[in-house]
Amino acid sequence: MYEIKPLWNSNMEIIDLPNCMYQLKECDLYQNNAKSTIDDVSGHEFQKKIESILKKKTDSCEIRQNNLIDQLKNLRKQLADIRISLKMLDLPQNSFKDNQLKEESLNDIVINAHPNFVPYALLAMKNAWKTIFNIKVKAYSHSTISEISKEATEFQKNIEHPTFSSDLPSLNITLIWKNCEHTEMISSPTMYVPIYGEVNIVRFLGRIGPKEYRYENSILCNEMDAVMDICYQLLRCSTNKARSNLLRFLSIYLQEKEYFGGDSMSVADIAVYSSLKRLSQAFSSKDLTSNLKEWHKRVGVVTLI
Amino acid sequence: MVEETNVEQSKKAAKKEAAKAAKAAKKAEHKAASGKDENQNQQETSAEDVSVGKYGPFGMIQSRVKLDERKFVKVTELVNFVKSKGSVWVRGRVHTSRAKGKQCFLVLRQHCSTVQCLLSVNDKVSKQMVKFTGNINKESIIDINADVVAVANKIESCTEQTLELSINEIYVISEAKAQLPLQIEDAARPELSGDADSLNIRVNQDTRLDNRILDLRTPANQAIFRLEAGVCKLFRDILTQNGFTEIHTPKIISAASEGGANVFTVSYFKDSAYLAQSPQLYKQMAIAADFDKVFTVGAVFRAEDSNTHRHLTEFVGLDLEMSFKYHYHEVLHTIADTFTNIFKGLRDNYAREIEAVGNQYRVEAFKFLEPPLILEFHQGVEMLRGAGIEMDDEEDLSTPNEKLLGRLVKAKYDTDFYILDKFPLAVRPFYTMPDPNNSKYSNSYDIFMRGEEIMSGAQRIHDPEYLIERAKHHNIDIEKIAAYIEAFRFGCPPHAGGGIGLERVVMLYLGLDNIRKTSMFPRDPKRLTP
Repeated sequence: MYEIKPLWNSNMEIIDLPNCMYQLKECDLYQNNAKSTIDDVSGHEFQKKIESILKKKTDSCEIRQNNLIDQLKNLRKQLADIRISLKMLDLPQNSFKDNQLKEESLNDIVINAHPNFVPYALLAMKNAWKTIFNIKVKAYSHSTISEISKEATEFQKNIEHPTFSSDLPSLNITLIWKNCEHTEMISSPTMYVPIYGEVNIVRFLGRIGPKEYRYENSILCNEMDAVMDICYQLLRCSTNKARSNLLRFLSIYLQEKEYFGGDSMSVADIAVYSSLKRLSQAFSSKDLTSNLKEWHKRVGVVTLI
Repeated sequence: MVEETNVEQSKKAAKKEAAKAAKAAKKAEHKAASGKDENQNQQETSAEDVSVGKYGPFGMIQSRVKLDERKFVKVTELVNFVKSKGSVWVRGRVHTSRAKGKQCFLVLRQHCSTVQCLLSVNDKVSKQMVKFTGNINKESIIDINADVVAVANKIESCTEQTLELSINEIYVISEAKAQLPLQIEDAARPELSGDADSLNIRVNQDTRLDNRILDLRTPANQAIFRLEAGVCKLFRDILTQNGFTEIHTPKIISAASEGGANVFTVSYFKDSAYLAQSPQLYKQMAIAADFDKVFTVGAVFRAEDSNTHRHLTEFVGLDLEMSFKYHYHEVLHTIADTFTNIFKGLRDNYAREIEAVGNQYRVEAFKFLEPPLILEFHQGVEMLRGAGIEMDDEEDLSTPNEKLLGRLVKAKYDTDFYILDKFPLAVRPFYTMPDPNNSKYSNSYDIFMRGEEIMSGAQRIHDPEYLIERAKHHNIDIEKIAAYIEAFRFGCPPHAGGGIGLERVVMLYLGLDNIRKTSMFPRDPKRLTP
């Protein structure tokens, strides 16, 4: 074969650095390291040395950071003073109240759903949150759908039915019956990507909804996520065998707990319940294991679907 | 029937000698009438031509014969005749014809539909007949008698893809000039063909408009104007069903009806008059005269010297006005439902036309929600701000912002049709009723299709004193609008309404880029003909 000429000359030791850039300080650590190996210091001492150097570094970093934070606080105070002097008394509110994701532009959320795949989770959520959070839904049908199914009409009637109390926080949802492949959620086309899948919408609403239903800090967080993933598969599986397999998994996750979230209702319960509701034609309640059956009754009282 | 003594003669006729052709046809008819032995004579004179009498110019039709026995079939209905034994008669235009040795392929066009016809030399069809058929000028009107034959391979170039016609007889009814100012094929060529190799000849808009008769023959144009008629019909039907009465308003008026917009002046005997730029005043007077719900369809004139894609100086206005009980949303919802029903009617009954337009212009189907999406103006402003636009609460939508909002609404709700309610009072005409809950806003609405405004309406002030107050606030000379105010002096129900331009609605529904495409004979500052 032909031999290729080396692309760069490896003998060339000094690389010409462009002088248009700042030069990086040589790394202390490396220098010391090099020295110490030459000096043949014992490993223990060497480690100590590194630690001391690192400590020095982190300390100085910490001091700098604290300084910066102080400066920022100062600036904030100055701004607040200016506001007060300008009589703009609306002091900046903490937008992450109760650790809740609060987005101003989310005051109207669009959910697209196919009338043959009714998103029962919305209704379950609306009913379960009745006393703590309002979900206001207005339904439309898109021109790609000429007729909506009986279940969808019934669902629409129930979900549009106003059961609000005015003093609760609320969320507006625009439900559009549409010929779409997935149930999808669009909050703001310019800022966020759509969220696909009913379960993922439940997850999202669980984060912006009432704090009783936020599950990230729960000890069962991982289990609940797993349960919701099973729901996702449950809605997509086509064979009876796969379905009963998944139901067995759910039963294992539930064990003897009252709810998937432990002692109280959680978004996972809503997800499972509404998924089962959607599949209600495919199997009957006798396919459920005894603990699931008990659970199903318990949750049914809350979700009212 | 029609018989030719001489093939030579028919050739000459084909060379645009219409007079001769007519004469020859008359002669032929006389012969046909005078008896059968003529047939024999002919066979003697041109013994080789076996298909004499089965082709040729028909001659000018002066309603001499009725020929009731000829049952004509529409091209679209030919499918039903594939299996039947007998032959069918079809009248249409020669779209293309191509003689190739012993065969001739001819594409017959009837409105939006095309069908392939085949003629090949055999014991019944002579060479001369094939030659004659191949030489018929494009766009000539012909009558053919043919058998409907199913084909194995789809014919991609025609709308009737599963069948072709095997010609038995062919007559020219009305011949077109050999030289056409534009080729229908070019005018009908899809605008965005993905095929890089395909011909790239287009006809520009002015050539089309100068030769509008030919241009209108393209399938897309046939479809556009049938659809336009559909919009008009649906508008009438739906409103009539809802208890509206159609009224007709004068187009020659004494004073400008709507404040600022320019009007055309016409001489009116010793005086001058104006062409109406909106039937609004007359609609309102009809309301004051207890007609409750009225609509009108008629020409509207705007003397605006703007040469844009969406302005005409004369267009068809579809206007409605309606009295309501307590809240103008009664009217808004009626208007919204009317639109939804028009869109549904078009979607369900005009699918063929929409497809024909789509074949040439490749536009996305019009999407809408039922019931229509109604946003409040401030929500629209919030959406725009979310997209990084800075604007005041009381600022009107600029054209770019209007388009952007349309795109935002489309991205979020996936609808091409929406209504914006509660516009700022400051940007509306003086007769608009202010919002009782917030003096910054008004009881007015705009309706948008594909991000462009098509209707601007409002609750009108029906109280004369308040009207005067609002007019003064706008620094309008009360003298000039005295007649308008006078209309409300004798009691008038609360009412609201609005108007749309037919051409604009059709243009936006189909997603076309120029309003001249949806006006049959458009009028703009630079065009008065044809």
